[in-house]
Amino acid sequence: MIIFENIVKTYGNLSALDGVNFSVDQGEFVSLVGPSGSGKSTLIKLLICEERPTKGKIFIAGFEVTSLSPDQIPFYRRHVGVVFQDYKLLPDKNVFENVSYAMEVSGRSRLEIRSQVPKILDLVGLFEKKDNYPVELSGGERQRVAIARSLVHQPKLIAADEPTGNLDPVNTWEIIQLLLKINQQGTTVLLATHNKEVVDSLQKRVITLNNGRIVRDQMRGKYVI
Amino acid sequence: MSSLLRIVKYGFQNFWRNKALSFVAVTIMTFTLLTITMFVILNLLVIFNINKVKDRIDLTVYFKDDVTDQAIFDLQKNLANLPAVKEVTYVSKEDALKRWQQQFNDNDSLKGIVSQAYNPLPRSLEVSPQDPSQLPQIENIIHQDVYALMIADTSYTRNKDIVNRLLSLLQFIKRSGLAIGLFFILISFLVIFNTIRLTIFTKRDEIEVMKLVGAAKGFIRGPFVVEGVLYGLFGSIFSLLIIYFGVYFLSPYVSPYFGLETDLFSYLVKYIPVIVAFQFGVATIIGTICSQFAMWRHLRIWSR
Repeated sequence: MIIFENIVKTYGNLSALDGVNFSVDQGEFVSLVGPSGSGKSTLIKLLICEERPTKGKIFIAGFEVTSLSPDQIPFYRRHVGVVFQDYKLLPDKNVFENVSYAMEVSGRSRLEIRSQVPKILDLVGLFEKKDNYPVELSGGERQRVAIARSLVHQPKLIAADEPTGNLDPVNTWEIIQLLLKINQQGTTVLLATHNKEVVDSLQKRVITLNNGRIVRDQMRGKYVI
Repeated sequence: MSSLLRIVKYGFQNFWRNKALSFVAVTIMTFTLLTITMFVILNLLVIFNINKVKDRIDLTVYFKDDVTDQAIFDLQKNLANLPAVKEVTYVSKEDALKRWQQQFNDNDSLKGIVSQAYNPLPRSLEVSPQDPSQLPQIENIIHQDVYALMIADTSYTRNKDIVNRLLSLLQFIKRSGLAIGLFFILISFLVIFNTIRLTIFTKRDEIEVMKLVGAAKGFIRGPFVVEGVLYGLFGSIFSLLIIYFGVYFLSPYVSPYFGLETDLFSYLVKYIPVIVAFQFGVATIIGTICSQFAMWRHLRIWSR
């Protein structure tokens, strides 16, 4: 599902990732931990092709991400769902529109949108709030909208970069439950996080980064830095 | 197809939600088109007048009274066969008398000098050339030996001077119109370019989200191009309305100066399809090029 081969990423003299090797199988739930500046966000950026590695190759869901042409990137991104700490919702669109927007840009028909979006909103438990705007929602609800949006392309992989970073413990737990639910349906989840309690309670695979290198990769890991 | 409709929809949305920016862009576009169109109309009027005066330049050949009508008709036929000649009209003594009387209708003393009984007015041939520049050539032929004996006199009308003056005026209007038009096109390019860049700047978060959810380049660019076209469209509609009503109200005062048989307004109405096509063309080109260029500069980050 995910293969990182000898990935090196430097910004000028600064080394963000230095020889990163790992692979993730279809259906796995992997937490990516490490202190600030350890390279977690860089890794996610490489994953969604927002940045290109300085060296090495990345294979994801059958794509060789590192050799995609600019024209192919949008089509690749429809196979990967991304969730961010700051949600990245569109403030002047309501919940339904925020989700349907992702389907519109990829040219799905109105019929598909009308049948698909309510199902996904139901999955994240926000169907009742489909007409509300992001400002009217709590942080947890906003993040659920973002997750719903990342699901519309039925991706094989969801990458979440600190999705609970702005949330209180209750909302954090809701989001993690949701990610687990999505994972149970067969979607691979890569969760970059700082939250020790979350990682420890998950009892899933943990990859620990430090100074741009993988220092630990455990199948039932704990948050250890 | 649904993508295209969505692109158009988002373009209208951008246009409507950034009302202030759209207003500035449309205003500039309107003034640009107004200036250009006014110079085009002026040009058309001057060309129209020059053509009318050009038609009036001809050569009149006056005959001695002892020449037979038949000889004049022969010459008329010969001249009409020349490629440089457009038309040869015979003016008999009676025709000449009629013209005289018409010309001096309100001046009895002059009118009375000639009459049916006493008519010293000569018969003449009025030769209109295909082109006024060919007149000397035609004159040379007429002055050849055989005909020279028949001819009392030849004369150009005085219109030649007027035509030359109008031609230089036309040149001036063309050049100054072109310069001012280009100047305004440049300004509107800059303003519309920056307006669209501002729009893109205010929407950069949305653009980022669009990219993240896998929108193709065309789908992101499209709405901005539509927006640029809308600036052009509204600009041309407004400038057309201003010209239409402006000419409608000014026509009675302006028309006499251009020596138009019909008034300026009906003249404009005749040319409206041309003006509309011209304005839409110019406006759409400006709008499209500007938005493409603004996007091109902004979306370069894409290639990372």
